[in-house]
Amino acid sequence: MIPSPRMTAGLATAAFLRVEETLLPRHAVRASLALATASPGLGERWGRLGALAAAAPLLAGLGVADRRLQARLCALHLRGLSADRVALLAPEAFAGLTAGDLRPGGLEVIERARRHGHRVVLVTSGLQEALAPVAAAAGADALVGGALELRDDAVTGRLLPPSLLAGPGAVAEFAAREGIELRGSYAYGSDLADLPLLGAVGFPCVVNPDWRLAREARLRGWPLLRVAGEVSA
Amino acid sequence: MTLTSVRAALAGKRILLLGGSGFLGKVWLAHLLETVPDVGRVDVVLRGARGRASAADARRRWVALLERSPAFHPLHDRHGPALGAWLASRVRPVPGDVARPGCGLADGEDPDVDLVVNLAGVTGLDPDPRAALAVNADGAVHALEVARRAGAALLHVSTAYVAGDRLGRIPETLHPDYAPRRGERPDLEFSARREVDDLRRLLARVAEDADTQRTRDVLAERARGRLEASGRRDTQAARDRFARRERDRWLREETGQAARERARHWGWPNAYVYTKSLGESLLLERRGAVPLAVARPTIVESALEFPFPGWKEGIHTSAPITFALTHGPLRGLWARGDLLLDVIPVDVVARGLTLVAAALVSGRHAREPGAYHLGAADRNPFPVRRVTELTNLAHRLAQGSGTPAARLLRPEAVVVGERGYRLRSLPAVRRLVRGGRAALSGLLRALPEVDGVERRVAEPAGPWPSAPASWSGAWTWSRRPSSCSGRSFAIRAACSRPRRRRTSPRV
Repeated sequence: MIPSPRMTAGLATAAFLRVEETLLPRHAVRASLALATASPGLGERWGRLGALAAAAPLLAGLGVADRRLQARLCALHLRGLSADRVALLAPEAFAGLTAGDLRPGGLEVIERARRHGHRVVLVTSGLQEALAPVAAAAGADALVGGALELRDDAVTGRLLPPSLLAGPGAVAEFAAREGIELRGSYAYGSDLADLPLLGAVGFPCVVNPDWRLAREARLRGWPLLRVAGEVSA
Repeated sequence: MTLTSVRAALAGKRILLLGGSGFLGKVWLAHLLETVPDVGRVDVVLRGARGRASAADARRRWVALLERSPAFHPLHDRHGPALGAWLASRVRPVPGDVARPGCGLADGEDPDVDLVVNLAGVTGLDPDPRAALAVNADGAVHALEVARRAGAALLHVSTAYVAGDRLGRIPETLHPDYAPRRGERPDLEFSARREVDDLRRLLARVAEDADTQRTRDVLAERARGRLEASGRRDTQAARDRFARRERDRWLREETGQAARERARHWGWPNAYVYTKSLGESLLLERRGAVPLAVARPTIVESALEFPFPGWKEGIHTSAPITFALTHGPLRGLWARGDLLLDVIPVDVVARGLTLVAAALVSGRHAREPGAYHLGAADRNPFPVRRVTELTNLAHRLAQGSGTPAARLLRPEAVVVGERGYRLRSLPAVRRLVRGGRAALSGLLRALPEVDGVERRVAEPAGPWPSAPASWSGAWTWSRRPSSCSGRSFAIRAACSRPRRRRTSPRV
């Protein structure tokens, strides 16, 4: 069941959507693969690709069991890349992506949110730079993504969470900054990390949740949405 | 502290500009006219073609600069066909030459100006020392004399690298008779005036040596060899032309070597900064009551915004390196990755110079005499590793990501140590070429009946086979055998941008 959004007077309301399950699964691997292919120097490039190939079975397993760990492991393969390279070449990972490459169920949620005048904010633990084309294809108003930790202008291999989910109070801070009224807003989460966001909005909904979030949703009585459909991306 | 308005300070002021036809000179002039349109008048001193210095030559050169240089595009865009009339009351081309006493201005004509700006300089890391001495050192003194006669202030543009080979913190001050080695040995005896005289005598001795019987004979022998290798007809005129060229080349090499040794002895890395520093010292010694400011930019690079982002004239400073990193065999840049390359956009330097000029004419500059360093490394450090990375990325973005195979196999430049450089860059390519040539020669010797093939292989002609797609339209390419026996290729890139419409004054 897709909850019906409704207009709230005063501040703007928003629909927060987790990219990973609502629109595009497995993007962490694709972004890492694109950046590894764009490494400087042939030796480094082939070294990174070889390491990713060796880790492929593990990454595939984690895609089902623990997507957060999968994303972290993918980020580890980008250690040492320059901040400039990530910023400039990460968008190549999803360049040319269109709405047809995204899950229709997620697009339907976005369409309904738009019809009801909500701002559409995509949330992802993947790289913000890499997923910018996804936000454009989905027609979202904003994208809040994760970032690679940098030291001396180089990637350390650690993936930082999106600012919206960075700690207690982050959701309220984001809403205050963006002029969003949380009680009238919707959130579609799929990961346990989305708990603060789901708890802060008036209309939480879980989409294809992992087992931990599914348990929490049952305890709190949140609606559960199944979005099916393989996507080409 | 009261603030000074730059526009108000320069409004109505008359300026004599030396070096206005150079890269920085053009950008500064165009930027000044764009940002301070109320400036009184700018007299642009120009040499004219082939050193001629008549008023008509100077005017012709000014019109050519205005029409061809992209530095003036913003002025063209702003004023359109009215630009000629607008400029006629603000800019006056004046025949002259900074290398001559009185800057070669017409005899008895004291310039009626408030400020002399000396942007003239013979740049490059290995300039002709005779020209460098004449422009960078003597030219500074000539500019000072003109300023003194006119009762004007002098803004002299030098370089931050006059500091020379010194480590540690070096104060932003001007020192009379400065030499980098005096930093280690303050008791060292060094006089800039004497050094200039000594250098002049040294260069004259080398020039005399070029005309000795023995050197002439050696050079004539070399010229004969080159004439033969060129395949041209052996006539007296051709022999004379090759002999003249050989003498010039010999003089250039010998004087360059002499000046380099001299510069290194006192702690400067090359003849450019050596002569620039001597010019500064001479100015300090002789300035008397002339208000003086010295601007010292670091490596002046492509524009940030003005006349448009990324514009640069010709292939100078770091451009040959970035070009070689992306197009040539130089894939390993032998350098320390953390070394800071202090580059600064030309329009940022132009803005800084305008500020210094305003401070100088309104008597508000920081010190007397003031030194102003225009650099970026303290605020925006640019290590060599990042230079290489951004060069790679810019090239990749310009070319597009390409096919999956191209993405996997695309070579990129990297910073390497000495061993890496020898393995993957020019020395390796040279070894490869020599090996290939030896193999090819052996093959051709085995086919004696194919007359002339070896020669054609050694001296190719015709269009360059694979000009970069990103340069198409803006550049034309050709290859020609180098003048030294056809052993290597020389690449010539000639800018062929379409000319702008004529909106400058008819003269």
